[in-house]
Amino acid sequence: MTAFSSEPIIQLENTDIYQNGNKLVLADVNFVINKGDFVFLIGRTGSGKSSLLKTLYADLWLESGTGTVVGYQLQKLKQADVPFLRRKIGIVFQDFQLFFDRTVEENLEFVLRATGWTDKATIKNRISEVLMQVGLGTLQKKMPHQLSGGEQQRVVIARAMLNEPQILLADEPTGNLDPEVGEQIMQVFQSINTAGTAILMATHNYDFLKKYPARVLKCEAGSVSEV
Amino acid sequence: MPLKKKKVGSYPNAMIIVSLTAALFLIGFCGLLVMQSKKLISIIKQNIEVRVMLDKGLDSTQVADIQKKLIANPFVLNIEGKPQVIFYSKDEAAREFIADTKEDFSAFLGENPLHDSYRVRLQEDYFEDTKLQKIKTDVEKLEGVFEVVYQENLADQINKNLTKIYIILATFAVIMLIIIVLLMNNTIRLALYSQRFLIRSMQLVGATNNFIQMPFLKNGAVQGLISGLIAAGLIVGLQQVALRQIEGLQLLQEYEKLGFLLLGVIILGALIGILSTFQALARYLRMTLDDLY
Repeated sequence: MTAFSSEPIIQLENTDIYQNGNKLVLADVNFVINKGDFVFLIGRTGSGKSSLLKTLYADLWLESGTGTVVGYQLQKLKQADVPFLRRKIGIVFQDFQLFFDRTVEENLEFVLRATGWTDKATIKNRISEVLMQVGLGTLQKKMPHQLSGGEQQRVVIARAMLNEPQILLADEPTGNLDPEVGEQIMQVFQSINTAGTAILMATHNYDFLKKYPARVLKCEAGSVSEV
Repeated sequence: MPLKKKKVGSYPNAMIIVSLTAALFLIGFCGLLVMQSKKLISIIKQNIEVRVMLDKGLDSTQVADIQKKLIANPFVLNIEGKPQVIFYSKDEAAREFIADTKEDFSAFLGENPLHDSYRVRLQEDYFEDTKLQKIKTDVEKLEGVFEVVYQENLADQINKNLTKIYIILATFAVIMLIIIVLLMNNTIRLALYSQRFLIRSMQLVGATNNFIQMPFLKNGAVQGLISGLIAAGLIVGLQQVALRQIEGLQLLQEYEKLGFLLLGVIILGALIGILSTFQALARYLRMTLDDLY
């Protein structure tokens, strides 16, 4: 898929989502996310949101139905394709935290090196770009513990943006932040979305749904519906 | 105090290096034993003679003729181009007999009943009872040959014992290899567990398995090489001590082969390091991220 392609970034058709590969949690899932979309994913704890997201980034295999994520067909996906699929999506999860034994810059450099970047100058430039994008231009040399919760979450978003993903998958990105900081993080997501990156955000914060009207997918009673 | 940066692929080296060194040392030691026992057997074999007893009353032409016929055979050992066929007159044989037994048979027999003989040293390949039996039959057909004598069953006995020793040593070496592979597997599993956050992060951002494996494999190879070098040093040390303590051991030394053995131990170390790391990693990288927890 090219950058100007009109193909959906995510498309699921008649898909069943299994928890841990054996327990059916969502049946007959159908939805499409296009370039530039902002989509909230809501539902109670255990309703299948995480399993759905795991299926999208290929930590769980698609057992039935068809699905396409950033040009990769999930039902035909090979193990060797998984890293390349993940490079095209950005992941902002609660359990995917920063390394507290290295600086902000080193955290970001680690990701770039792990995804095949080798040139020092290019790496430095890209790190500066993403930190500017999330409003943290001067904190490169800080250790994560020297940052506030909101700043840490911005670094996590910057890390997800490093490889210029077509979509960000965010699972409760403001769950641990106070409302004011949560609001600031939401604005970061909004500005990223405005620049053209699609966002699929799982959240329990229903205030966001009112304040930032967008598409809403609801996981409930074993199915996903558009609200 | 700043946190120590966790490096991908690093894990406690000391235990692995000590165990791998012990395994490689034992494997190398087995190799050394095999090498030296082979040399010893070869020396023993080359010193065992077949005695070709000649008829009495042969003239010097007939005796020389038999020597020529013997030398023409492929089973005769050549040392520096000299065929090892030595004539022993019956008088020399008598002197040797008397020296060995301290009994002068000529005093009561009045004559020397022994025969002139050729003592033939054989090529190592012919050191089997069936082949020796054939040599005996063939040589006894030569005109002027009275009898061919050799120590029967010795060949088969040595061969059988040697095979037993090789099987025991090989079993020992294989058991050591299995132990070290299991040990490395377990250590790498622990290492993967302790670095699961780093690995999970690498997987989530799209690092390929090769990229994740590389530091582990490099570490495994370095550990293997270090262990191999230490083990090679220990083998050389042991050999030098043995040379000083055991008289005659110098005869069994083949330094070119020892060099190959030591090189083999070092390469084996690196191979074990790489392969067991690869095998352990392949299994754990196939797990889903949750299973890795």
